[in-house]
Amino acid sequence: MFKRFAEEMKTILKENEESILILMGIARYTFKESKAYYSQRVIDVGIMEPAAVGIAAGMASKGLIPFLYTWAPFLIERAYEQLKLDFGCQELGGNFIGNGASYDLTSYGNSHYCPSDVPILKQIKNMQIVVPGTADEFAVLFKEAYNNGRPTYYRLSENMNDESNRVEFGKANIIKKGERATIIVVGPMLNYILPVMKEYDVTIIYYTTIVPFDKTTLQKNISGNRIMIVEPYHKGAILDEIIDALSEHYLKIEMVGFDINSVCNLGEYFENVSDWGFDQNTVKRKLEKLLEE
Amino acid sequence: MTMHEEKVRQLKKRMLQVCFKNQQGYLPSSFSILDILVLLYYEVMQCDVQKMYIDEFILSKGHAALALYAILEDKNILKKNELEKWGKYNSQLCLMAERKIPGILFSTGSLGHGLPEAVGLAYAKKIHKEKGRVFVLIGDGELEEGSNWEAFLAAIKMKLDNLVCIIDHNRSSGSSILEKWEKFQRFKMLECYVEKVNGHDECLLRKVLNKNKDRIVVIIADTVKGKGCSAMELNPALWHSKAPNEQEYLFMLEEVQ
Repeated sequence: MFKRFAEEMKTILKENEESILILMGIARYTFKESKAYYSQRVIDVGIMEPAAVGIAAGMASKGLIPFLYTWAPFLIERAYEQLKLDFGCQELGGNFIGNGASYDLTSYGNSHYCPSDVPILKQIKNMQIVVPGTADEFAVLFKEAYNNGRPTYYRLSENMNDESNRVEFGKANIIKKGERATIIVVGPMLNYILPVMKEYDVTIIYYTTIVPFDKTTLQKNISGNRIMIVEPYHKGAILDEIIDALSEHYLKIEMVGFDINSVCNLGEYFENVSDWGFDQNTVKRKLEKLLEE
Repeated sequence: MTMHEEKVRQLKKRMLQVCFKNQQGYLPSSFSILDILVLLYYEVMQCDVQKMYIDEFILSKGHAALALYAILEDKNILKKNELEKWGKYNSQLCLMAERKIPGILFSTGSLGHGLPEAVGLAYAKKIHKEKGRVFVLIGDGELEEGSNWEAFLAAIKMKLDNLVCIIDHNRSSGSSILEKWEKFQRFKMLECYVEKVNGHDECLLRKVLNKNKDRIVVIIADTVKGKGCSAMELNPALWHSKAPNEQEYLFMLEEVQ
């Protein structure tokens, strides 16, 4: 997904003279050529995430469209107050592209994990959140949202779905219609649940934009009152939206996703999947429990 | 009394009134920067033909917002009755600097935000080939925030000759961070033009604020917290966020007259 981001970013730098890419010591080589072409609009301020976000806010206040790229924990958790005050409360537009998702860098350790990115960013006023499932989906959503005047977080992940959907910013996709339950699945988690859900008569609604949350599609397509929420970060980030959208229903809910006690046991991503409860057996067991009378 | 002194006197009186009436505020910090702000807003900052400022100002030490509000009110940018409601229910004005007020670009209050924002603003002005400078006023204690150090490093890379950073050296934080920065000639290492000045000396301040250099200008303004009110000058820590009672208010009013 990073590779696709780099391609799209280079196109935006070429096409939009107000765009400015701010690097923080990461991806210097990738954008070396762009820096040579657009020396004023590709800047590497150095490894200083909080100041970089503040600097970007100053630029945005004069009409520039800033793009900030680095690993997710440094961009989101280290510079959280700047994101909140300098962009969220200030109502400025900017683009924050965080790589590494929750545990993409499995072998790096806690410094490079960021499973709380989406839940904490959801607490920032005006912050839009995009969680694409594939590189193609990222490209579509990035182009749609980058210049809409709001701060937007794009969650890049190397753990992707096998197939892309025709996504649209702010809209959910219906993957499958059924009767017995509604499965609400976010971004790259679709790959983990699709093989299980094939044999069940359930509706699957796929989200790639978390904020703004598409309540209408959910309200129009809910099947019964049994819901499974499948998220690729600390689970529960969209629970408030779902409860709000379905406030007239008594709901039975099962959740799949990381929690605060989730542990990454280094190694490769696939080696950790069953520890996290994303494997087919665990998902199936949770679904059976949800469908119990 | 010079016109500048008269304006400072008049604004201090107004700030005292508001602080007494609302029983809240940060008077000493507002008094320490007032000479600087008056010079900026009434003389130094350039306007275009529509009388809109082409220079920009960010008050990074947002707790001294009362000084800025008083000036904006005096310039009719802020409605008179708004300041009366400062910090009260349904007012537009919070105790810290609030960007929803015309003339205030950034909300501040959490220290260490103003300088990075000013750096980005100054850079954007250069890209857009806009005239004018960006002034940012930070506190000496605020220099402890690492984001300032980061922002200075970024500003050097950007070769900003349109950025003026004024440090309110009122020594109130109890920290000697600025002295340490000076001792190690950190600003000079950062390739800034540095000048230290008495922050209440109208003539010296005017001269330094009008200086244009080919690099970032850092002005260390030696100020007195609570300048002009003996109680605040003698015990700045006690008065940091304290509002005067009636007796104290009347005495302070007399002192600033």
